Amino acid sequence: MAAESAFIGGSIGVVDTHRHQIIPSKFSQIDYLGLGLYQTTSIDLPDQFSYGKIHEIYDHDGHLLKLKIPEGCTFDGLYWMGEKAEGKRQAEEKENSPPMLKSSDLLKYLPADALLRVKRNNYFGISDVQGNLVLEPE
Amino acid sequence: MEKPGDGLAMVFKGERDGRYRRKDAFVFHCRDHSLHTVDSTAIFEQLEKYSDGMHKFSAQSRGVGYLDENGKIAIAAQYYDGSDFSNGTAMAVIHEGGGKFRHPQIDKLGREIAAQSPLIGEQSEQEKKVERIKSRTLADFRPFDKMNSPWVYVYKTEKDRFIEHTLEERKHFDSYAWKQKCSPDRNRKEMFGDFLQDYRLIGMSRRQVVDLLGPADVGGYQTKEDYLRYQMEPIQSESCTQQSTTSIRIVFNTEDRVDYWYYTNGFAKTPSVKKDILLAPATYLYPMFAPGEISAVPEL
Repeated sequence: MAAESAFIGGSIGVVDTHRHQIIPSKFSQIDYLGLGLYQTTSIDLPDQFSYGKIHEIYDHDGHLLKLKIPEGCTFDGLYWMGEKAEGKRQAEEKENSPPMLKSSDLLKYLPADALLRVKRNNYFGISDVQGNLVLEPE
Repeated sequence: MEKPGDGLAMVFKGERDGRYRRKDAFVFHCRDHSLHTVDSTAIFEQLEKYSDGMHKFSAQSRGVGYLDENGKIAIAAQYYDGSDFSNGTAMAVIHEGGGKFRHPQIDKLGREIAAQSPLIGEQSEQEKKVERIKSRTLADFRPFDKMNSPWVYVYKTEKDRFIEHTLEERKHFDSYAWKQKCSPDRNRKEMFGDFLQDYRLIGMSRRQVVDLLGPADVGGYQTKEDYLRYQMEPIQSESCTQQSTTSIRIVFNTEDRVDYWYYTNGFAKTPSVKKDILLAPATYLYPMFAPGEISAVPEL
């Protein structure tokens, strides 16, 4: 099933090709990460482009993925999808626009070897999906 | 920190040192989480991405070179420019002086594999076609239909230089690839052509522009222009004595909507495009269109 982010009333959500809502329209930005995952950015009206600081990841059914973030850090984005998933993601990127995946390819959670970009005191670091820092934010 | 390419990425400790240049750079391996110190003589003027285990870098005044996956200099900085590596090779750009450039294919040791394509100074078939309408004034065209026929955007500057958009194959704009500055088969110029075909840029809100094209490489308020600027590759131009990195500048009006756009390379700029692309069948392009006839072309 294809889906695209769309402007609705100044905020962005995701609907499928039958106009069924997948992700509610309450974000300033939604990036398609591949394999059915979407990364959202909250709205912060005082910001020049209304980009907020809260990032989350949703799956293709609109379920919010629970992420383990190291203490004292905030989630800033998916950094690497992991060896196997990254290969699939690249294949998807090359072959499909918009993406048309088999349901078995759609991710419901992040792979065990995926990496997250995290932020602490304005410095970036990298953590694994278990919530362990692999690169200190410095 | 960069986005990883092939599970490798450049990361930087500490504060930014200048606009693009940074100190304390490391190569981070996503697979085993190892960190390798980057050769201190390699300077990054623009964030790139690892591709095929090699990372393009530029050293001030010496040109472009490549780092290996351990952060060591694999090919010393010596080229005018170069492509990313793919399947063990990359295309280097060597400036031979007098506006002439050579494009040898190189391997991971910097050895030339085969001579590539004619010198840029030589006229291609497409350039000859452009030549036929070189006396015309600013015009931009694209086909009436939605078929895969080529469309061309041409402009003429005071010095008879041209830039053209020629898309042999129509494709939809890929926002993700544009934002990543990475597409397997489309350069930035072609991607922007795709963008112009799919969207009406003039009148678009700043937010929509940023949503589709991502944050600008440079933005600001200069010479009474409120603009967003996106980097393009060097663009070939007829009888051009120099090449430089071209960017597109999108200028906003007081209502924060796109007023016009143009190309600029820091030294010169093209005429501003103030309305959405005009439609014209590809067959109309050659050899007609005298000045004045352009107004007869139906608007989008």
